[in-house]
Amino acid sequence: MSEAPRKNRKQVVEALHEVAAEMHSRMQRGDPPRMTLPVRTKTNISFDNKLGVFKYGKNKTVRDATKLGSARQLLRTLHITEFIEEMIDSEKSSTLREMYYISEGWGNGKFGSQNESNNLAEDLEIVTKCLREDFKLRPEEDGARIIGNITVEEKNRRGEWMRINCRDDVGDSGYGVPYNVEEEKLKLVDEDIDFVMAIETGGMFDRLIENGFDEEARCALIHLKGQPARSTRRIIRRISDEWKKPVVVFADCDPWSFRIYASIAYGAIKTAHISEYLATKEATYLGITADDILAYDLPSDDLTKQDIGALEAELSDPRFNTGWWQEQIKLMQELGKKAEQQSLAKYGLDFVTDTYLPEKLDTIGLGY
Amino acid sequence: MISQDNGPGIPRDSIEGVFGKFLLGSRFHAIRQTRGQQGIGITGVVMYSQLTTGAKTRVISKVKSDSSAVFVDLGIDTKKNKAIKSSEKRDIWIDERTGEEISHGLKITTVMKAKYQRGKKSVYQYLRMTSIVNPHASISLVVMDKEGEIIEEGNWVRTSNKLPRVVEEIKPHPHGIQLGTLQRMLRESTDRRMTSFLKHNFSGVSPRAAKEILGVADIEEGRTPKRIKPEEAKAMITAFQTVKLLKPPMDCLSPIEDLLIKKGLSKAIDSRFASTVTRSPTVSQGNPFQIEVGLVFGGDLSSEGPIEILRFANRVPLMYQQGGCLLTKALEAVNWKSYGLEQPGGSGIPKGPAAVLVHLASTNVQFTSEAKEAVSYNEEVFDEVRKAMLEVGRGLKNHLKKSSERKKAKEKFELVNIILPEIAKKSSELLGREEPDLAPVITQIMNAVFLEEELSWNKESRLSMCSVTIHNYTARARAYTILAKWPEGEDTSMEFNPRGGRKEAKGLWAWRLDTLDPGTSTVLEFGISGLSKGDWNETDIFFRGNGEIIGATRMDEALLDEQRKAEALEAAVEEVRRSSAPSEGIKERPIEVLEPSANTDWFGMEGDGE
Repeated sequence: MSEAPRKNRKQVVEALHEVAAEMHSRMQRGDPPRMTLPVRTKTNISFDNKLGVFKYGKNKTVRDATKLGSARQLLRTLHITEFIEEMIDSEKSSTLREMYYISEGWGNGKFGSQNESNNLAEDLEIVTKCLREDFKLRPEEDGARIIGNITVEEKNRRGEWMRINCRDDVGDSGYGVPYNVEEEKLKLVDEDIDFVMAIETGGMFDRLIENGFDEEARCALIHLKGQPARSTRRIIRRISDEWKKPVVVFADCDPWSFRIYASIAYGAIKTAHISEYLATKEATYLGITADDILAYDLPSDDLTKQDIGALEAELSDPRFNTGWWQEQIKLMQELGKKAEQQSLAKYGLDFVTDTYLPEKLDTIGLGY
Repeated sequence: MISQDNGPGIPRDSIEGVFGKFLLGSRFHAIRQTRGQQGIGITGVVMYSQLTTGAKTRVISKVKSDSSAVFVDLGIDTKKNKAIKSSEKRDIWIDERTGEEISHGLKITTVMKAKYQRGKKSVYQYLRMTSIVNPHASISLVVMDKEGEIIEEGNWVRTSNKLPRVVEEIKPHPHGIQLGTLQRMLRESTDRRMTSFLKHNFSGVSPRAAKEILGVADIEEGRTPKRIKPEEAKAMITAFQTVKLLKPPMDCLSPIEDLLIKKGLSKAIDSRFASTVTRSPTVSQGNPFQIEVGLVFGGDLSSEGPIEILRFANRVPLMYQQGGCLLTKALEAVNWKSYGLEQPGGSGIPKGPAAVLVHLASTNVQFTSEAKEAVSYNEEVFDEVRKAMLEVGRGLKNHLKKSSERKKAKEKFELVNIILPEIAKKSSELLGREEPDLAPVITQIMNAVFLEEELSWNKESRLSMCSVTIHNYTARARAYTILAKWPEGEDTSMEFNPRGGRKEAKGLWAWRLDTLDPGTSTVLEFGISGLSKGDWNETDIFFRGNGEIIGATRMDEALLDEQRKAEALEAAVEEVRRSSAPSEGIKERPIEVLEPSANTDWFGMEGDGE
């Protein structure tokens, strides 16, 4: 299950052709061309008991050529298909942003925005059950940084396997996770850690390194860089699966951080079609919790209008439909406050590593 | 300040009176719509110049029938309210710019100390507004500073060769008469009997009504007007209100007329759409008045902030006290939201890319003060302005609805004509299959009848052309009667009309079309003569038949019936009017080329200094 199902070139092209064939066949029958997709909102994700993550539900949406906007999207989808085929043939790859610029030459198939081209590429992944990597499309976002006593082998651009220890062979910025972290590119070789800690902000990541927390607590630190990229989520999942290490998430206490955790632990709404490869259901939310604001008397900020709206949305998000999360969200609504990870500095630079984290880890049985 | 026109000029003997004397009460003698006083009276200019610089005002005047022009310098003797003339001479007047002799006109050169105002309440704005309501005039403005550098320029070119109608003088109507005026009229009367006094001096008073008035006022019919006592005059005023009287005649008004408003507005404001209305004249307290409103929308107009309001009374721009003016208040009372303009708070001046012109033509415009800056409240006038606003509002709403329908239709056309064929081509290429026949797909996507109309100007034939294309994108054959609105009038006619059809009502023509098979389209064309380029840029298309047409409105037969009845009634009334009083028919001056003659009225002279 850990291995993402990869398709060979022929299978990818065939899957893409099925999409074009649905359009073509309908036109031959005298019907408007169309594409059928799952609805990609929180109203259509549900917990998959077998996989233990959130997946798209049964609600489908039909994108057909009865409206100009949808018709344009169908045309663009065909252009993307053609472009991917060309890349597969010529053994090239491109970033999503490059594809966006290449579309300038597609006439009426040109994208309106980068967001649109990203979404269409995702749509194609979903209907063809292929992965972005199969399409030779690379994301723009950079992956995470890792520091800790783990050893990986990465195939470099000369095609040679390079062995890297993420504590001894890297500088202060850590090991940079590549966009492709599948077996063909990255092997998890060796480790001497007790758990993995995923950290939301760069400031806290650097604080923990400076304080030597990775060695003291025998853990690997992963900097998420905000909403984690697919490769970040995927490598966390692989470490969890292959080394059976617990994963904890250390983030700010605000509605957006809750979503970061949800995308790691339960699956993101946008990528619910591949949740089973990206989500790590064993991941635990360590902090900062709404309780911590009170317990540690942390400096806090008032919730903004957007924050309040986001919390409200989370109450009806099936991923947060557990007693603990509902409690946390409601408590936060009551307080009307949020707090940053770095607010712990109120008690000194070492407070987080000397007091806060040991106490929190202790409560989930990871004390050291 | 130099001001020059090519008007009729002022006869030598009148110059002194016009420029050097403050006139009072001239309007008591003639009741008709005049331009009235324009801004500062010309006498005021001569006076102001003299006060601030001590300089004389130079006047050059040429009347066509004279062989030479009069050159004279004027000052004012304030004690005697009289002009002081100096260095008067007669000479040939040569235009400085063209070097040609001027055959008629007037030029004033004066020096004064003053601030040159810019912006909303400026000379520039005044002239711009003047040009809007005087499309028959060409106006140009050049402003130079002390060094002779041009700092502001304006050039408003004539857009119409039709002169405003010459207004007829009418006698006052008893409903608008005040006691003092009546007493003066009685005093000055040469009539020997009261019955003939009433008949000769008032409009709307039939011999029978005259007798009735005198009966109610308890005055003997044979009394001499000069001998009527003040109490008796008072009783007459009361009687005027109780006795049934005819309405005053309306040909004393000179509306701009909607087509010319449209021209004037489009000359001054670059917009997409103009809706104009000239209401029928009506009466308030014995004074005939008429409301005209024009609304322009879109184009270069800014969508930020409140709309521009252009107010006019008897063709004179009103530039001050916008908020306190009846014309503004009536506009504010309209719920513009329902007509497609933003109106924060549901009342007040609406926001959006629009401008509204409102013109009040009346024999007696009631202002809030002597400064003549704002029209004072009057229920009947308010009501008429509001109604006119609603009418142009409906025009705007229609236009917006149509634009949105047109946009939708355009999108559909783009979909089936451009995007769909590309989808077919690309998918076929990718799969190595044959391209599918798209006709049935298109029918399914459109599943409607579409109508597009296009108005254009044919240079060669000088016709305003309307071309209506109807596409049947349904799976069934369709049969329709198409009806089109056109600007029917005395000057226009349906010159080009190969499809025939018939007139359904005034300004509404109908054509029965042959059955339109699925997937086919047809074009209906007609051309109107008697208009100029740009006069006609919006029409309404209606239809009769089964199934909807996108881009046209189903004919409302009940409304059409009503219109027909109203027209029949109007025609009957006209018939009766003509046969009973042949001399009182509306005298309309035929369209003529602009060339003022000696007997052309002097704009604004007779109403000065009221």
